Amino acid sequence: MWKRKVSLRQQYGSLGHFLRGDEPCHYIGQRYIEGTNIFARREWRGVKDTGYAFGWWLLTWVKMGSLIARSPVRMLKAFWRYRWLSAYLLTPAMVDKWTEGDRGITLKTDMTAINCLVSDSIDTLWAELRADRHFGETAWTEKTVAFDYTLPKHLIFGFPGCEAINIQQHAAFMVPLLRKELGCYYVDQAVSCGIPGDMCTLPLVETGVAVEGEYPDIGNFWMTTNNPCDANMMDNNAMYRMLSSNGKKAVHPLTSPLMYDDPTTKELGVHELYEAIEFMEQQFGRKFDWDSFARHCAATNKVNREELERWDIGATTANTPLNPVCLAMYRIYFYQQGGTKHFARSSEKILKLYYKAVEQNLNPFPHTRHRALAWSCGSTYYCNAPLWLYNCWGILVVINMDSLTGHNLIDTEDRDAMMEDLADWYSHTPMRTHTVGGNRHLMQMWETAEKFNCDTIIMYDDIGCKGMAGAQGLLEEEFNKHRDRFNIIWMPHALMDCRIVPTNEARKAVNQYMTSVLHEEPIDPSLVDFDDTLGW
Amino acid sequence: MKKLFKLFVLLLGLLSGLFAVYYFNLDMKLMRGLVLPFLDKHHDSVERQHII
Amino acid sequence: MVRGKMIDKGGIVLRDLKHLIFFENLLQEANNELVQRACAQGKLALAYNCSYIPEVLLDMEGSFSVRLRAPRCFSPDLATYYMTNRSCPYSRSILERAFEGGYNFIDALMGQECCTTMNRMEQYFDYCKLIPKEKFFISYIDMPLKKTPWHAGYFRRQLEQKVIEPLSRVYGLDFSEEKLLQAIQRHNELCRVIQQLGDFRKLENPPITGYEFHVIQLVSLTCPKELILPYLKETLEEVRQREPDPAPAYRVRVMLVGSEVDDPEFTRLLESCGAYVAADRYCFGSLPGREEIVVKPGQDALQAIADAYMYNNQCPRAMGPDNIVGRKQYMYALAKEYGADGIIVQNMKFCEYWGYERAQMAAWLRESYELPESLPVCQIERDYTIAATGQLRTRFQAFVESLEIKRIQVGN
Repeated sequence: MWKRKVSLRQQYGSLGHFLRGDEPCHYIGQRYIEGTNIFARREWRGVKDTGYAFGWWLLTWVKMGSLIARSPVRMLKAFWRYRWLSAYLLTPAMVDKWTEGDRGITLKTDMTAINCLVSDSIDTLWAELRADRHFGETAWTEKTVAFDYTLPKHLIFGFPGCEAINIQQHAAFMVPLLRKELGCYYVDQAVSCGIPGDMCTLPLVETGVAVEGEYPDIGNFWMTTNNPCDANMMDNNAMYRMLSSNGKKAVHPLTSPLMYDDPTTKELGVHELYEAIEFMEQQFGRKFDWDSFARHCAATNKVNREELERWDIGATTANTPLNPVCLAMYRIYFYQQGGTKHFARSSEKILKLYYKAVEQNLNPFPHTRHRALAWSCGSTYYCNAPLWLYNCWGILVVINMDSLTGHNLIDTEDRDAMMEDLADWYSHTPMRTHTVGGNRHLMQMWETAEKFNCDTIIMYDDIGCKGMAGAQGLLEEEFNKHRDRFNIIWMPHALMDCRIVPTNEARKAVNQYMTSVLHEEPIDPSLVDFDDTLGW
Repeated sequence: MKKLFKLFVLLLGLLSGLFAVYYFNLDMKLMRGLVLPFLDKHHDSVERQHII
Repeated sequence: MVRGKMIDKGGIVLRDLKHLIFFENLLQEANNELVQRACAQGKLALAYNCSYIPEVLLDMEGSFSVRLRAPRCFSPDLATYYMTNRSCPYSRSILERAFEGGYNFIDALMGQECCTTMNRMEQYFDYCKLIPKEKFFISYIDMPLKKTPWHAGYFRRQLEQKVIEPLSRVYGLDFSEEKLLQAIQRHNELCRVIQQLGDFRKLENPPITGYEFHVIQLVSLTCPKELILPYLKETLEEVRQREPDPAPAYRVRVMLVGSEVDDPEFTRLLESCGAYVAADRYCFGSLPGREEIVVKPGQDALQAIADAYMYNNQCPRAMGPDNIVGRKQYMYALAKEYGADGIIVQNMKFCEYWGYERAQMAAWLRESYELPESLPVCQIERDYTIAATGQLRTRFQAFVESLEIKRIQVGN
């Protein structure tokens, strides 16, 4: 039976605070079921904000229900067949994690961003499951094709009426966000086939889903890629049999140069795009619609322009209303999907909320003690770590490395320029832009930290990442040169497998730094040390 | 008028019930206690042919 | 017919090759006797790590290629600080040797961004200023991942811009068509010698051991070609005349596949367990690696080089079904050509390419997927140096026994 560790009086002090939800310390940690990060009692955010959050919760369930209602039998079969799909039943818990401590305009902005992701995910899940041969061929089956999830699907917009699904996105990548033990499960399946367990866990999870036969069987071809790294490229090889249906489907690699800002490699990026378009034309039996594609690029440009404005506000003011988790996830999701209707709508709305915060000079994150840049690849099973950093220690992550990708604008007037810009886009993938093509990209963290007025760098340490492992000494030496200017805190993780580096270990690393080096007291003591091993 | 009142009470009751589910996180507790174990048990029983 | 003192080499009893000890000594250091001689003659030492780098372009007039190894590197402590103990031990060992000054003789490093870890290692040469030569530079090629005529053209342009241009500019090397053709001729001459030596392994009772061939192949990669070739030619003649035992000393024949094997002791260990390493399909191996470069009519030398190094390469990073399937079929064809009873697929620890490829290869060999039949396979994950010989020996012995049993069963 859950019991409050901190009394109502101690937490709220007065009825006013209780009704407004603006108590000095939220004591979030006391709400968890013992041993988990699942709320025994959802957050009380004051009357207005709790009502608002409740409304979004209802809407989330309605949307999830509507997905099932589109074809109940098909959807139930999908739940019966795909273990990973069960994770999406925990979407409300994911929302809880991503909005911990949110109040006022922050809650509003985050819910707008999350709603976009939920809506887009529902559309995407429906698009792939309605076309899935495992549950019977439909009119959509041949029009819905698989793209590797690190390959933005923008090219599909040149074939109106057809759909591209980033096949590993919902079946693999997002799963530990919702239910972390599934990441561990799929890693084990991949390793049981003989793949070394010390590989990066992201491709292991992707491969694990493949060897279990749990990718939807859609379309007649599969677009693969070498993005973002060696291991992910090799998982494309490992998944070949399952995703090509044992060679029955055509497979086309759309590769991008690693040394992407080397002018001598530009021709490769452009050639690969033309080659991919030609391949898709052959598969679909129709010509690429450049006008439709240009319209999509224009829509994506619009979202990118709005994002650049948001970054400007984030860099120069304390008025950013989007919390660091939503900022990061919204951005990475957008990179895959592009300027679809959900992103177009939500981006406008989010920008308006940014303007509102600036006009009214709101400080959505009043507990901020440190402005931080999060560098390197963050974990999925602890993707809400930046929120913990803020709620516990007042470290506000204002921008992260993987957000700073794919924001170049595409020229939609001149085709040659368009293709060059697109090639740039394709090579600037999350987990790639700053980690390949020369160590100088990795060292962009200093100028980025300065630009965003940060005094702290949170260095994510993915212990399975060979690319970052190779740069460890370089990073340490560069850190030494900048320690007077920045607090630099290593935060370990294992990307998709929470057993290797439990979330508690990551917290311990930060706690140690904050107490031993900075001698600071936590803002929310209930979050300093807790066990969430059995949580999601 | 009476009908309206009854409808209002019904809706209020429904909303309160839903709010109780929301606040006490009963939806996720149901998932954790019943739905996920049920689905996991089924998935664990399925034999998979690991193909690489 | 050569008779004389018979030396027992782990079950294989053959007369010692005249230059074997000399070759083994050459492999003890990167800056070996022949390298020193070439440097003293004013030749440029051009180093590389990856099979995609065309060594023929580094063996021009006035230069010689050196494929980097780090023999006897047991504790790459400094490199581990820079690259962590979770990085490929080959790359770490090379970096360690560089810190130790073992490569101070090199004039340039032809690098790549094909393998991230290797690329990080190469970047440290610059960051840590490891080579104390004023004109030393590193250049990185961007290697395409597909094998089409367009990509061969792209590779060619990368070679022009990343290998030829800087070497011409900094060191004045001549890459004219005439000089390139001469380099190809010299390269092909060496390849013919190595191929002929390698072909002896196809015999039921070969006059050359896998270990000896491994040593020979390594010296051909790490020593100036001009200086090592006469010794290799002599060795070829010697092997032609060599009289093997009346019956083969090995119990089974195997093919060794996978990532870098630049330590011939690995092959010696394997052969001491009763296996004969008939074919070497690994980085630093001859299959592929020692095919002649063919200049087609109407084709220029540089394009012929680009074609050869791209199309012949069997690195697992090549994408697309043709390459994924083709690699396994190539391996199978080699196994049949060299009479291998089984295949040992090994990968360097933390090697992402071969970690995945090994698992897939083994599965396809077992299931005979896209292959005419299945073949027995043994999977090994190993470190750069052979430390855990006991464990390896046990694995190899078990595999040899299983192959013998299979042979008997098939015979019955």
